[in-house]
Amino acid sequence: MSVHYVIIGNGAAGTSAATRIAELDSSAQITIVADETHPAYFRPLIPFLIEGSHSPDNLLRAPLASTVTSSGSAVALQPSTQAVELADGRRLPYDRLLLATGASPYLPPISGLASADPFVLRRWDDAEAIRRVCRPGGSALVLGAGRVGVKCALALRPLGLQVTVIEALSRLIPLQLDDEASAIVQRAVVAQGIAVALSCTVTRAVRERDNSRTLVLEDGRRFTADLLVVAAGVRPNAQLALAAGIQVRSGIVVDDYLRTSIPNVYAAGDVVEAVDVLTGRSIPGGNWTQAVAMGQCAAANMVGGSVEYPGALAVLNALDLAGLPVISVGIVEPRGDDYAVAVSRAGGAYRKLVFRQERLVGALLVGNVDCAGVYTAMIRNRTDASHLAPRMLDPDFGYGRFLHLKTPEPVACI
Amino acid sequence: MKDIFVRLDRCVGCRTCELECATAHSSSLSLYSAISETPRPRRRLFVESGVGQPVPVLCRQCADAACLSSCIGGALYRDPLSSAVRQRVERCVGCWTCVMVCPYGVVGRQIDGRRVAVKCDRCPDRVSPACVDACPTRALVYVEAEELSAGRRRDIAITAKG
Repeated sequence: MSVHYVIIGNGAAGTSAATRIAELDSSAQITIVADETHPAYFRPLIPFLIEGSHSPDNLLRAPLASTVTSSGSAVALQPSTQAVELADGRRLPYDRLLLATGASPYLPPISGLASADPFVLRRWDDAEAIRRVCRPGGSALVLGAGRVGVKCALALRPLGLQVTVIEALSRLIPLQLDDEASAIVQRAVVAQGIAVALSCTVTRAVRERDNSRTLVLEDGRRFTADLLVVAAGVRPNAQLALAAGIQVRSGIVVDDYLRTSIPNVYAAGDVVEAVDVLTGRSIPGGNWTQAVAMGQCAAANMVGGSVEYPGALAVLNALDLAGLPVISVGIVEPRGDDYAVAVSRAGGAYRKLVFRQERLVGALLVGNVDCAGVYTAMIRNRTDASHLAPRMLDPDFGYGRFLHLKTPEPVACI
Repeated sequence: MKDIFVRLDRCVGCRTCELECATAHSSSLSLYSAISETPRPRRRLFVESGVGQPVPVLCRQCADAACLSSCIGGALYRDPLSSAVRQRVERCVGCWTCVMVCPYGVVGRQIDGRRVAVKCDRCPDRVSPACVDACPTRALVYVEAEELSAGRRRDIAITAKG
């Protein structure tokens, strides 16, 4: 008898889980419940919809064979009868359920912000809505200079808008970079004609009579523009789980096998409360690479396997910002005496490695990201780096350093 | 399924494989014109200074390939025939996520012209990959794993006997 898998959410976690389930269980019956306006797409690419630089078709995923997608939203879970209730009244029974409901943009508690009706950038229709109101010669404010904010600013600029990025902290992409890396990124962003205002405390948002939006700062400065995008991070969409009695803290609580507190219900992606394996701290959502890995791991366990989720990294990001490659993995801004740091500024690039005892725990690469994957693997695998550390920023460092293999005897020509 | 194997004892670090790899991925397919092409053709394997000996490091076309599952644009795909991880280059957006996750560090970047990731595609248009054909010492071989291990067993048996 075939097992019925229901997956709520068709983002990175949901889609990768569906793909993996289909690979592992050929008789699987898979239903994806998706409340998006478009078929499954690659979320990190939506800034291209603003810029118009890519055909929208290139954002879509190849449809999954043997999977039914049910559009609409899930309104309730019935764990006792193993069913999902949909908004249109349908009831979808499941044998195994995956909650991959993702996260939603967070509006900081700034007076007047919600009623100023700002744009956000999380979904396909968000990007299209921004695109529709962009006029050459117009202006935009982007509140929040994280990855999404900076990408959004870079996508708006080619449309001929005056763009200003406003950030509460003292640097761009504050959570993934250090001061020096951020300064390099800032130069690249400013070179695109984008204005950057850092260390800003916004106290009030106003929708003006001419429909422009104003942000008022604590120090009295005012920024006004035709459109306002808020990119202040995301919060997990855990309401469904919470209402069903599933344990939720900052996100859905899962065990090492990505099982929730209710039998046959799993969770993966941004909705999960992930914990950084290096620091033990809980991780703000929004990491695509990790959502994919979680989806695959949950899938393996849903089909009856026993695959432990190896844990997440709070920082695991690759970006190309105005032609500047940036990769940031692990602990890139260590605090405390337990750490040793190696930095190279060769060739105009900035490359920084962070060690804790004999292990590599962080890599921050700007301008030259070659070999980043070797560092990522060393961080993930907690490789003993003590004998390699002095040479790890050499231009010729690579995986070859790990090969102690000796071919025992010559092999006859084949 | 054939794989590219490295016989470390034979590699002398001449880097002919790198040259021929880049040439095989140029538009002119000739070393002399390839060097003046834009974007400059790039090698997809790397002869590194290993531990006391040169080591060609190349894509293993991993069964559970990190580059493939983390590709944010759907540019990488598994070719069902060769089981190589190949690229629809028009869909690559140059985000470098594959560069970040490849544990062998063998995904490169093309940065002149369109900015796209560059990885070993096992030379789809050739009977055997360019690097293998080029290797003057036959340090690189393109064989079935069983074939290689059978050859080795035979050699070890001969050595033991003789």
